[in-house]
Parts: sequence; C-alpha cells; structure tokens
Amino acid sequence: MSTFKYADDKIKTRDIMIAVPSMVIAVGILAFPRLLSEVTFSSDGWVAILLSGLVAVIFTWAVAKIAANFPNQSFFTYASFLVSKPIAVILVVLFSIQGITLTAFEVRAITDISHQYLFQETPMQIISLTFLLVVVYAVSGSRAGIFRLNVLFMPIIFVTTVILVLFSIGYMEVKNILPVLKTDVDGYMQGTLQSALSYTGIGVLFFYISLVRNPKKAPRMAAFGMSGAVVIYMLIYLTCIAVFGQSATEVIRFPFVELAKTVEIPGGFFERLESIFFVIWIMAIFTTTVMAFDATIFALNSIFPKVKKIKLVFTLTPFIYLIALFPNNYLETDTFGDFVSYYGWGLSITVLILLWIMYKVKGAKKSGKK
Amino acid sequence: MGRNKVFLHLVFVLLLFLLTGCWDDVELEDRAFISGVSIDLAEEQGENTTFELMEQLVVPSGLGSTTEAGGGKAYRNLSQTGESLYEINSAISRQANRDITIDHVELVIISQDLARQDGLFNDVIDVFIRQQQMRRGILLAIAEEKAKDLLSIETEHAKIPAQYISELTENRQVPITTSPVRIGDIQESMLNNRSFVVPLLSIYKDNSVNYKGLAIFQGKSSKMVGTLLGKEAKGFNYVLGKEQQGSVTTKVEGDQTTFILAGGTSKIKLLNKDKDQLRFQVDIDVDARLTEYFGELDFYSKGVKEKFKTTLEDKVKKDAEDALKKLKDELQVDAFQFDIFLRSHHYNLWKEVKDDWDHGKNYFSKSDITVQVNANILEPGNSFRVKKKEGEE
Repeated sequence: MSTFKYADDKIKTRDIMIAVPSMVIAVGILAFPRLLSEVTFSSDGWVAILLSGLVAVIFTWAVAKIAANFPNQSFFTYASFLVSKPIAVILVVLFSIQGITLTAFEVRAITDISHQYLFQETPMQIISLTFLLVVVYAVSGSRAGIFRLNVLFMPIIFVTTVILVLFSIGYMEVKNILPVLKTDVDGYMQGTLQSALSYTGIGVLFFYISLVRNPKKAPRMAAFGMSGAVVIYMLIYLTCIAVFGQSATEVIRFPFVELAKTVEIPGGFFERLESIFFVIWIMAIFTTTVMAFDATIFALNSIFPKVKKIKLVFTLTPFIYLIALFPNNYLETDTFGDFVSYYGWGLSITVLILLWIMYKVKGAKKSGKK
Repeated sequence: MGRNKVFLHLVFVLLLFLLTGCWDDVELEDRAFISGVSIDLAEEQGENTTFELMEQLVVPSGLGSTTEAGGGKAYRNLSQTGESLYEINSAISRQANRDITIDHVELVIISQDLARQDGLFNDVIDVFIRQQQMRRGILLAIAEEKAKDLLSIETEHAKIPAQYISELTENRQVPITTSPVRIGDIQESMLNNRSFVVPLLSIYKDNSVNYKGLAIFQGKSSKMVGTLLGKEAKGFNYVLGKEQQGSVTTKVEGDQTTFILAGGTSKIKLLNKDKDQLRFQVDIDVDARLTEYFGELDFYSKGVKEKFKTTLEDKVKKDAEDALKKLKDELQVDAFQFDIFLRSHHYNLWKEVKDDWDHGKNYFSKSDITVQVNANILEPGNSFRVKKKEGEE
C-alpha cells in the first residue's frame, strides 16, 4: 500500500510555538499539584511554578536558539560540526534512549490512569497495546502531519482546561488560598525542582527546529509556547488548591482528575464532566507520546539515513511496549517516571551547555556559511 | 494482487467485530445504581466492630418517565452486616440480580451511635474517599436514630428516599441548617484536625424527615461530640455569617414579632495576641424584613424602628452567644473554625496554637469571644396592619 506524501515536510515557527506546550503537557500535570503541595505550604506552590517556569522558558529559548543558528541542518549535522562526529553519534543515541523511555512511560502512565478510572476489567496489556498502536499509526505518517495535529488539538485542550477552571469557581474557597508566602526557602527549592520535572521533553526541539524553513523567529516562538504551558500549569495548580486546599491536594493521587470529578455544571444538567475531560486529556498525552516517539525516529534516521522510517518504527515499537509493561505497580511506575524526567533534564542541559560552549569556541566564525 | 485486496478488506471487516468487544462493558439494563447508603452499628457485635450497611438501589421502572408515571416502588433496599464495608458491599451484590454500580451515590447517612464511637467515623469516610468511582461531592448526614430507617420512609415529592433527603439538605429555608456537607469537605477538615458540623436528621413522621440540627464533630478525634439544635444552630450560623436565612421570633413591648432574615455577614477580629487568653470579636450584620407582628406600633416613626432594630439585635446576639457558650465552654470544640481565621490572618500565632487548638491545652476554650450585632430592617411588609388602632376612627 502506498503512503500519502504531503507537498513538503516543512513547518512554520507557529507550529513550533504550539508543539512546545503539546510536548510539555503530559501525564505529569495530573499528579503534579499533589507533588507540589507536599513540599509547599498553603497556596505557595505558584512561586515554585513561576521560578521553574522561568528556568524552563529560558532553557527552551536557548535550545531553540542553538538549533536555529544552523538553519535546515539536522541535529546530527550541526552536533558533528560542533563536537565531532563520534560524540554526536553518542548524543543522538542518548536522545533516542530518552525518546524511547519517555514514550514508554507515557504509554504506561496513560494505561495506569485509564485502568484506574475507566476500564477496571480490561487487562493493562491490551490498553497499552491499543494506545501504542494508535501512536505508531501517527508516527508512521508525515512528520508535518503531527504538527498539524498539534495545531488541531492544542486549542481544544486549552479551552477545556479553561472551562474546567471556570466551573470550579463555585467550589473555590478563600480559606484554602490563605495565608500566602509562608513556605520556607527549602520548600520553594524542592517545589521548583518538582515542578521543573513536569516540563520534560523540551529536548525534542534540538531536532525539530531543523524542520522550520526560516527559524529566525523560532527561539522566541518556542519560549512563548513554553510560557503558555507554564500558564496552564499555574491555572491548574491554583484551581486544585483553591478547591481542595493544600492538605487534601497532598493526599489525592491525581488531583486534576479528581477536580474534573468534583465539578458539576450547575443545575444538575451535566454531572460527569470527567468523561469529556478524559477524552481531551488523552489527546494531550497522545501528542506528547507521538512527538517523543517521532523525535526518536527522526534522531535515529539522521545516523542511519538509509533505513526506511517505517522499519525503524516497527523495530522500536516492541521495545517500547516491553519497557512500558516493565513496572509492576504504581510505585515502580513513579520511579520510572522520575528516572525519565531526571534523565531528560540531565541530558538536555548537558547537551545544551556543551553545544553552546563549542559554538562560542568555534562556531561563531565558521557558521557564517549558513 | 486483486485477491490480496479482497483478503485485506475481509480482515478489516472481521476486525470491526473486535472493536466492539470490551472487558468493561456492562449494559445499562444490567446495572443497579446505588443512590444512597446508610451505615449503622449492627445489633450483634462480634470481636471487631460490625457494621450494618444498607444500599438503596434505584428501580428505573418505578421512576417512570416524564410522560408516563411509573408503577410500584422506585427503589429497593438491600442490607447486610459485616466488618468491612467493602466486603458488605460484595455480600450485598450476591443478593442483587444486577451489577451494583456505586458511581452515582448521592447520599451517605451514618447513625449517631456509630459517629460517636472512637475512630470509626474516619474508617467509614475512608472507604468513600478512596474508592475511585466515588465522588467527593457525595452528601453526608447523621441520623439521630437508625440510619437505615431514614432510607425506608415513604416519600411523596421524590420517588427515592435518598433523593428526597439530599434535596432536603440543600433546602435553605430554615436557619438551623448548614450548607450541604460533602465527603470531600470532611476529608479536608479531618486532615487539618479541624472540627466541623454535619446535618443531623431524624424521622418526623412516616413520610417525612426532619432536619433537626447540626451534629458537632471534633476534628482531632474525628468523632461526634454533641449536637446543636434549634436556636443554638441558628446562633451558630449567625457567628459563621452563613445561611442567615429564615425567621426570628421575638417580642417587642410584649407583642410577638417575627422577622425574616434576608441574609447577612459576620466578621471576626482578633483583639490581642496573648495565646492563653485570645480575645475575638465577632461582628454580625443581618438584614431582616418584618413578616408577622401582633402589636400596634407605627413603623414609620424613627424611634419605633430603632426599637425593633434593638430587639432583633438582642435576640440575634443572645442566640449567637448561646451557641458560642455551648461550643466553647461545654463541648470545647471549635466547629466555627476560628482556626481558619487565625491561619489565614495571624499565621505566626496560629503556628503556636495549632497543635493544641481545640484539644489538648485547648486554647480555643480559653479564649474570650464577644459578639456585636448590627441589624438592618429593610422593609416593613406590604401593609402595616389589619385592624385599626383602638381609639382611632
């Protein structure tokens, strides 16, 4: 069977702006109000979100900037130029491992949550397989298509979140917000770290910027997209705290899901908001998973240019499936998630610093050939 | 090639059958929705505490539709006894012909006997918080006698007793009620060792339930420690500044007068910072309308209006002080949640007292709370009297 080819595989900077929040907003958002309120007092977690958000925005900008300095060059090409070919190969492999583990984690997490709230009887293996197959389907197609999918999904996700927040207003209580700014410095630090972990996946920008035809504005757009994600995190966190209070948020496993379950549209007209909410939220997690997987394929393709994309997809899928099924219980899943986050941040930051240093050392002169 | 294509299409068609398969598929007709749950202590107690759980299942055919009245009862009560609530639930499902669905539980009633036991109330709440299908919006009420009797009354406006009772707890016509208490709120209070109130219900007649007052729970021990009935519950609401609706009856110059409260607010002030003898002042504002008056005074004179105002203020103040006295001096439990006020506005002080607020050293009961009332009579009613004053022609 033949696959449909789009006219070109290029995207606009606007697509990058939308891709960043689509990538960053994932399963983490369901649990992060809990993790944050464990370490901060009352409603003070917003400070941590703001701080980590600031770091993430700067980070996003820096990643997009270094990639945009080499327009239309793949990560492998410009990394080879900056840090020599063997190291570039290692970096690409490390990024691929991140992509694979992140994909597997997202698949696992969505399985856990759907198993907990939607399908108690359906075996986990089946749920994850189904989800993974849909992801594979999306990845097999055109890369630009994924970005168009983001453009389609992101507004829906954003609007649904805002609607949920609006309907929660009736359940908010001032006593849950007050007092403000009573957390100690240590709490803010931990909270900042904790919420920074939710912003994983920015590493894909190293690869995707090369798809942008004219990436001059890409860094600004990427940073702007990241700020959007920070705003959504902030909104969700504050709503959870205002509705449940810090002490209850701390003990609810997925506060954001619980929020959707608590809120009822007034008048008894529509009580089960979570049914719609789940559909939308699975979309958000889907875009993250697809991009994580696709970036991996993209990265591997740059070192194995002769291998067909579809072959890579079919080779990796069984591994992802196995890794996703590896954790035995929710604690192991959490550990797995922490590993993926730390690994992602560690790798991205190291690579970013490394590339910038090398760029300053030798790139500034030679890259004039762009 | 052509044959291959036919084969592929056939596979796709066959795959469609798989799509409809689902492990979690339960037809609506096979479900029995629980609308209410009651929990009592069983009459015969074993080694561990034995509960008696009754589930009220909705019988859809009894409900009828908008155009057609249903026949027969719209509910079915099933009960069992056991030591774990979840096990009782499984035991009950052995009696039911349909799949029992707990997603739509609207109301939980717990008997006073159970709520007064040490450490049982939070065990019971835990089940409703932990279960994934349960919602934090489930309403909670305390039954003065047997909880299961409340679910068996003959209702008239609503077809299902649980629905009737949950609507009752939301009806705000009377000032002795509190806003509906949801399970989620209870968890928040208990996590913070905060005391709280829950509606207290009793059976009035065969076909009606009476909203009797408020059951007081101490946060620390999370058990029921007392009740506020009638005027005390009104006073409680004056202090809170919430639910200030309903009527107040008092006497102006010996003639019975009834006011309808149209709402109001209250404000707490802390006057000193000595934690061993905190002094609070509660300013209560109420708006009222005159609704019943047996006397003959003329409202349009300023002095008379002033007289009504002070009478109402005195009455509200007395009720509020009675409620304060009962909670602070007698029960020594801060169901008003003054600690939220301290936490929000006097954080450092709160940190010192929070571990011994209404238990242990009990700073709450050592505090001194004064009440000031400001009433505003909005309107005198449509017509001023039904009979002419004596001596007037």
